[in-house]
Amino acid sequence: MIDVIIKWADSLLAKDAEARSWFLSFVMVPGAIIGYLISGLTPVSPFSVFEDSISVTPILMEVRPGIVERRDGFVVILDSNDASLSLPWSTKQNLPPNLLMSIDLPTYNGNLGWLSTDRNGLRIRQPLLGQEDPVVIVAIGPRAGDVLIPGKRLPLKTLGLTSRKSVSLALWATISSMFGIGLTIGIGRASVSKISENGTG
Amino acid sequence: MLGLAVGLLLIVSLLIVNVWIRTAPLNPNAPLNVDQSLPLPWAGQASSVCSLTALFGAYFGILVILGIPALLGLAAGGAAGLVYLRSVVINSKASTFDQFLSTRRFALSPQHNDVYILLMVATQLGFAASELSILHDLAVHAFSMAPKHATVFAVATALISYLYCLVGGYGALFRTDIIQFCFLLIMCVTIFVAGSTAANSSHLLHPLAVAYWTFGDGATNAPRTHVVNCLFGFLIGACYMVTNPDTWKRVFVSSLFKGSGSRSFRLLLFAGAVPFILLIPSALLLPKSTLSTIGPFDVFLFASRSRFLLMAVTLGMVSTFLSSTSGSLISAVHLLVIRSRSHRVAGQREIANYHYIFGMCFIVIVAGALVDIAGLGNSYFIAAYLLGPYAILGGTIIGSQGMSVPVRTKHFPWLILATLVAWFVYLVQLKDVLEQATPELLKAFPPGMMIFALFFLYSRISGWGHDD
Repeated sequence: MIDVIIKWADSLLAKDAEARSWFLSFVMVPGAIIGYLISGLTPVSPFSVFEDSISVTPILMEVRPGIVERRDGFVVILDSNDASLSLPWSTKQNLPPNLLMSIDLPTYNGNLGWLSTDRNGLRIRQPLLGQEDPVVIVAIGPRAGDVLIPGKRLPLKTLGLTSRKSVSLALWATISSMFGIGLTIGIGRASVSKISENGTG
Repeated sequence: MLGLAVGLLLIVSLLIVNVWIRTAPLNPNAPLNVDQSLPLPWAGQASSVCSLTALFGAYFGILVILGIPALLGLAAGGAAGLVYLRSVVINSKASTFDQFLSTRRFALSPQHNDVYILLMVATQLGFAASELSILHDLAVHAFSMAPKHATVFAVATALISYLYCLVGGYGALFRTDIIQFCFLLIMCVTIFVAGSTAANSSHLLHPLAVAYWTFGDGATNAPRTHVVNCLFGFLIGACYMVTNPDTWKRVFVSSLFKGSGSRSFRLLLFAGAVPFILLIPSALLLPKSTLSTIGPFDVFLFASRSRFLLMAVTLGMVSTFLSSTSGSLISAVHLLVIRSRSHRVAGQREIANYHYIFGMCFIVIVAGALVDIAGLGNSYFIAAYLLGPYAILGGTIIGSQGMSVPVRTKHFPWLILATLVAWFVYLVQLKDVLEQATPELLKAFPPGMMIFALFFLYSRISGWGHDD
């Protein structure tokens, strides 16, 4: 593969039209498309297969024995990373809401300054001390507003949970296309060069 | 598991091309001039006809809304189109497909001829973009994918078809078509089995609006209405076949190179009918709906009943997409490569033009599809618009006797331009057509057939007295 790239670079520097066209079709076009897909540069929606490290999904109802009623709230799933965030409630609360968390008491006590909630919202400084796995936080009562991270506001509608099937199909298609780019870069130039050297065709 | 299966299908397609290309690399002086080593041309015909745009879009809508006579008309028209193309191929006396393509003339004036070639190229690229856009919507609505994942899935899958066609040309297209045909058959059998147990024949026995094309006369089940539907279906089926350069290639190879006598061509005819047979059990799986509630992806909702069904349908749909997209892409590239010969630098081999054109065509397809995905709610709009160019091309191809008696008038490009603009204006005024895939689009077929008739007569009259 490296030989092919060096050979191509030599040809390109020598202004070989075939090398340039090969570079355009085998490297630039697929590279630009893959880059576009994983960059999240589009204004409409981030065409990214890589999930954000936070998911927020609303709670809409509560079922108790004999009672089914509408209920506000939301679930936050945080992957451990170094991005601090603030999740304001969509309306100011009279009292801080009840929170359910998937961390134990000693870990919570060790993170008192990192993880706080009040009438305005939920604030988290990451990474949480002593916590490696994702954390789930369930807030009963308020509705969530857009998530604030340093220098950016993440719209809530882009942070919903997506099915594993959806991620899996997108990921495997991307892996296959990356494999395909590597494979064709290897054989594409070599197969044409072979004919050229043999003087056939 | 589903993602892995799709990934394996894509990777196996690439590996097959990889193994084959080592023994038969592209000829740098004529990379697309390959006819003799192409296996089973009929296998690809089935998967090419089985496109998301035509078969699972327009044709399926025609079956459910207008009934079986219209579908029979489509199938018969498709077969008639193949027979017509065979006669054109044999009469051309071309020894290679490349020669056949380069000797076709739409118009006597070279500039006018270029307009036609560009229209044909744009139609093929538009068709591929439409496939990509519909695959995105199919993934969202039928396979419950998040829109951003569906975009990645569709574009990455299209990239695979680009890569194997780029590196292997027609050889790669025909070889991967065989695998895709197998997955299509598996999907066929699965749908047939699932359809036969579903026992919901209401859409087959009672189409939603039989008089949709005749604009209703009260007697919707009158034999006359069915005859008109069948006739329109025949013209649409024939027009689609005749205007598809990918089909020309398969007819050429099966008529002149493959098999003895007409056996290979008969197989091609049979394979072309397989997709239509597939549609009937598909209609059995459609949930009960009305003209106002029916959606283009409703038939795929059944796939979520079991993992096996979902896998068979997903792999079948991906195969369908790969086959039709790669066929359109390579056809467009071939037409442009032939056109680029007159501008070739002395001493430069054709492979450079081939690579440039391939890359540019794919960028156009992806850009067109992304604009459609981001900007329009109706992924079938491109397909509906393409009906106009298809009608223009179909009328001219048949009117010019397979592009052997070229059109001689000066005003042809202006007539094409005026028709394309008028067609756009007509389409956008249909109700909700930009926002969602609606049965309203089927109303565009009769005016489309009028365009076909106009260009057929125009080119026929223009060629009078100059027939071979």
